[in-house]
Amino acid sequence: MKSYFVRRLGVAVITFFLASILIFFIIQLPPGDFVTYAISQSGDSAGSAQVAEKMRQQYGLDRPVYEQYFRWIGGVVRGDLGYSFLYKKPVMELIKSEFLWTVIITGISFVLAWAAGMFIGIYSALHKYSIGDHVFTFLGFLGLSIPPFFLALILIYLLISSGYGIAGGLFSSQFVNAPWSLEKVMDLMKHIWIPIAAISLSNITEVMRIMRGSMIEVMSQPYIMTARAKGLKKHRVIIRHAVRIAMNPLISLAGLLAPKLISGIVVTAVVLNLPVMGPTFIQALKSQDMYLAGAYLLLTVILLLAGNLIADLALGWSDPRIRLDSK
Amino acid sequence: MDDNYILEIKGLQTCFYQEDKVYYAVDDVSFGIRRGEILGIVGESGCGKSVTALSVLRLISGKGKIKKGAIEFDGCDLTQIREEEMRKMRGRKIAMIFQDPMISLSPVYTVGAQIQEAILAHNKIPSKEAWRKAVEMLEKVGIPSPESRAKEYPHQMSGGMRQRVMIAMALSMDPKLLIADEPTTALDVTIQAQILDLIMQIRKERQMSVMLITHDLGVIAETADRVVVMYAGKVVESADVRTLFKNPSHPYTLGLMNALPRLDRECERLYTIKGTVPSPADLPQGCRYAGRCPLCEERCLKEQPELVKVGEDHEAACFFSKKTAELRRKMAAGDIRDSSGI
Repeated sequence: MKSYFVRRLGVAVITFFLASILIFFIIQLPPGDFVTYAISQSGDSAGSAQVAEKMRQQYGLDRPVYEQYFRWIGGVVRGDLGYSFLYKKPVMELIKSEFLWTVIITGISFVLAWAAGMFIGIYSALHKYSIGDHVFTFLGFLGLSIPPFFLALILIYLLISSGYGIAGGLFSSQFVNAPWSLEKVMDLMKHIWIPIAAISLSNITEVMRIMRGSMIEVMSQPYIMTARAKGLKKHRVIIRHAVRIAMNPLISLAGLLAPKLISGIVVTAVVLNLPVMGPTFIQALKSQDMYLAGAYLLLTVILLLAGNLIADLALGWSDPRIRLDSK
Repeated sequence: MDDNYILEIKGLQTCFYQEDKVYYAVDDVSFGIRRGEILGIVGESGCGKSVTALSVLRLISGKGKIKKGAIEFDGCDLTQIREEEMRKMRGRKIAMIFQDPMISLSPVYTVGAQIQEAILAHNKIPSKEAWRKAVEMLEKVGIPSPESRAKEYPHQMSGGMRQRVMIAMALSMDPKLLIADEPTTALDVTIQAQILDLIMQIRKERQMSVMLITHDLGVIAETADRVVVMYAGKVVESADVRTLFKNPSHPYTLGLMNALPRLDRECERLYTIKGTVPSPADLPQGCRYAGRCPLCEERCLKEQPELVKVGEDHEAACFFSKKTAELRRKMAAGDIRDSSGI
């Protein structure tokens, strides 16, 4: 198990560096760079060639691409994500609080979506083809076909037309820069449930469908009959014998979903005007603010790799057959 | 209720509902198991053997239901008691082992833990004690170094070992009745013999009754005291094992016996019973075997034969059970190769 973990970790590190090279070059792909963007924004095209040259020198954009890459990745390894040209701040400083809010909002949404999805999935499987099952299946497909940002729009519409008075952001204006207090927390609560509702509702379906299918399959396995035949209580058969095994596909799915912690909120965040990483990322891409965009993509890669690694370990813990095979 | 019987099934009817059709998997089945005996239930796939067994434990799930009949076990009707009472019966009074030991044990718990769990489901004892008991049971069913084997997962064991684990689990509660549903079908022949020996030895030690479900007449001949032959959801013949083999009184039983390959006689092709089993959704009005029976007459197509006494401890559901004996003599002489020759 230990050597397996070390090997997987090694593979993850190598993948990380390969992905970082890819990211760096993809960011470079569109014609022009931040300097062209900045000059086009200032509207001053005459005599700008000199300014541009100076800026490029200042930002190190005149160096060969591989040198730029090594300087960047060298910084990343030391915990320095580079400098945002657009905001004129270190990337780290810029995304720190945004990253935190992103993970808080999507994290809570995912936990809620998973708890609800698993619960409904189990219910649906145990009451296959009942009215409840059909209702959940219908709602599920509805949820699957509505993207979260659209759900957010519907929520905004409903909230405004019902006179709730809050339809976006995380704080009312008077609290944005205020120090933390009980009132500020209360204000946050009034705001934060909206994105959480939108994101969790649209994530329930996938979990629910997988859990339902997996649970139905497991419930028909002979070992479930054995468990019942030895006189176990019904809830014990369901939880310890069926759910325990039916969960496994969800564990792998969770690993793949980890990057969604960041990417799952991007468009919704724009719609709801949230101070999270999504809108900043889109802005960074538009203005070719390469280190900022790169940081975003790198974080996504890290989450994916970490998510998969953790999921693999969790699967090994959950299913002894996998544990042995991977020795 | 006759006190000699541990289990008496009376007029059991179990059906499955699918869309608007009703399938009678078990239809008016009655038989009893005496204390300490091994009762063999034999018949081909889909004849209702397993459904009968699962009905006894009330483990028919999904769209199946026990529609009629009584299942009297040790003085109480299992079809009438509450679910919680039934749960306490399962494992403790009536234990069951299944056909395929490869998939009948949970893949994610050690075998020791699975036996321990069964013990704890019915006893309020410390879990350590239950574990010790589990190890003890593994030793009893002949698993070497049970201490360390108990900590293994099912996939680390062979098929025979796993079936031993299933038996250990079934016996851990000292049940009065053991239902073994094709316990040796998934095992190879040498292991089969070992498992059957184990079941017989335990039966002797504990005076336990066994319901042995199989499609293998060889297994029946070796182990059973009495036999119930089932066909298309009905009992067609029941007798003690010697009588059945010597004097089969239902043409179906006879057909099964003739279909057995024999070492003492040369023949080019094995005997087969012509035709197929009728669908449980579309059962004939008369005798269910009529369409395949060499003795079929008009009466058989209209009337269902009842199970009647044809000898000491011997019942058959055929209008022509006497004629069957004649047919058997002819077949034994090798005059007839298959049923169409009559």
